[in-house]
Amino acid sequence: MQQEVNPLKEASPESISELFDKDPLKLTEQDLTTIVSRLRADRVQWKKDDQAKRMNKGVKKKGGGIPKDLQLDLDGLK
Amino acid sequence: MGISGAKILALTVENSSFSKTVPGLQVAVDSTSMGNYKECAYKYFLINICGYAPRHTRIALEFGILYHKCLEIFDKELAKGTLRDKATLIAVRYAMENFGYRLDSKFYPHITKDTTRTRYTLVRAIVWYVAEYEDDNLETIILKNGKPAIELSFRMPFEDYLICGHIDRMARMKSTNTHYIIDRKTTKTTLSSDFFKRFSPDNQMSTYSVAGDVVWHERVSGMLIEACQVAVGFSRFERGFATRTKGSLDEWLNGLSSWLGKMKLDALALHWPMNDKSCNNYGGCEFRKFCSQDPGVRMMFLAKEFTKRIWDPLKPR
Repeated sequence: MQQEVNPLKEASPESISELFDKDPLKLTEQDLTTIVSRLRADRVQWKKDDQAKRMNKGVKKKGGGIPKDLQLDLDGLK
Repeated sequence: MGISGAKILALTVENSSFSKTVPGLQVAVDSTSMGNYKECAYKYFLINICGYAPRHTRIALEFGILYHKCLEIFDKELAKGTLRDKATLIAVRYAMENFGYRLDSKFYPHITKDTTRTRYTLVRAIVWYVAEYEDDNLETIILKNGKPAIELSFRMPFEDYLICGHIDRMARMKSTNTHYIIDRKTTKTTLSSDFFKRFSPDNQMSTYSVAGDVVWHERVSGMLIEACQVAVGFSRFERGFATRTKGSLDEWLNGLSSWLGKMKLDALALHWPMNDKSCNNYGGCEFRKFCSQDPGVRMMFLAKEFTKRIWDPLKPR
């Protein structure tokens, strides 16, 4: 049985902004594939950066912050 | 306000959700109309009866509509058995072709001062959404008529009215075998638990929760809000629940009955009073500037700076 080809596997290295400047009715399947592939790659990069940012925040908090079990709101206790 | 019944009938003549005999009485009510009315009867008068809409919200609205439409296309393709990647391309093509307009056969994408809502951020939101929910725990319910539960309009009789609306999707959570009504939101607000708290209580979510039980006879466990934070450099997604107990839905329906009664009284009096305690909510009502003007000249300013749009809940999307 012939397997269906994944259209997103072969993206050409054309600039994404050039593709956004094209008349959308003239966009080929390959153009759209390129757009999707680029955006997916951007997401992977953003996720990495975002995670690193969160980790850094966590480390800073860990170093300088008050331990959770000492963050009791004694005023709120009756 | 000093507006005649004949004038009100003329204003609503093309809006099928309004009575043709009682001027200004909306007989088919959706959560948007009711939401406006609950906020301020005068705002409801301006938007739902007179049909004014702020010009600047048009692109924001169009962005939201297209985001929903593209994901509807994607979900429908998946339900038909189309491969995920192919379905993504179809949805992306739709976004590329529709976030803009044609003039002399040349395409112009919408451009606004709002850099978060562009054709690029729209397409990125679609692609990132698909990637975010690649191994999704939710699957679209197939209704008894064999159709996927996507973009469903409903009409539900309630007293002398029709309560109507439009839900994005109904889905089954595979891990728990529970059913949810999915409502998609796009926002510039940072997504946190605070963002989801605003939906309980909430007029729209309560309307949809009632509809799940009454209209489709599905065991709906609640609403699931699928939020997309749209920023210049990223799109972030979070899901949050907005559940309702039977008691809270009964309470909401009692309230609805009272609000519809008030709406009718205002229509009979041809008077929709301003609620000046709402003017500063959510960063300020878009009509605040005009409501601060003398009533004699207000309408002239409105006609100049606002556009006209008929909000008819009975019109299919």
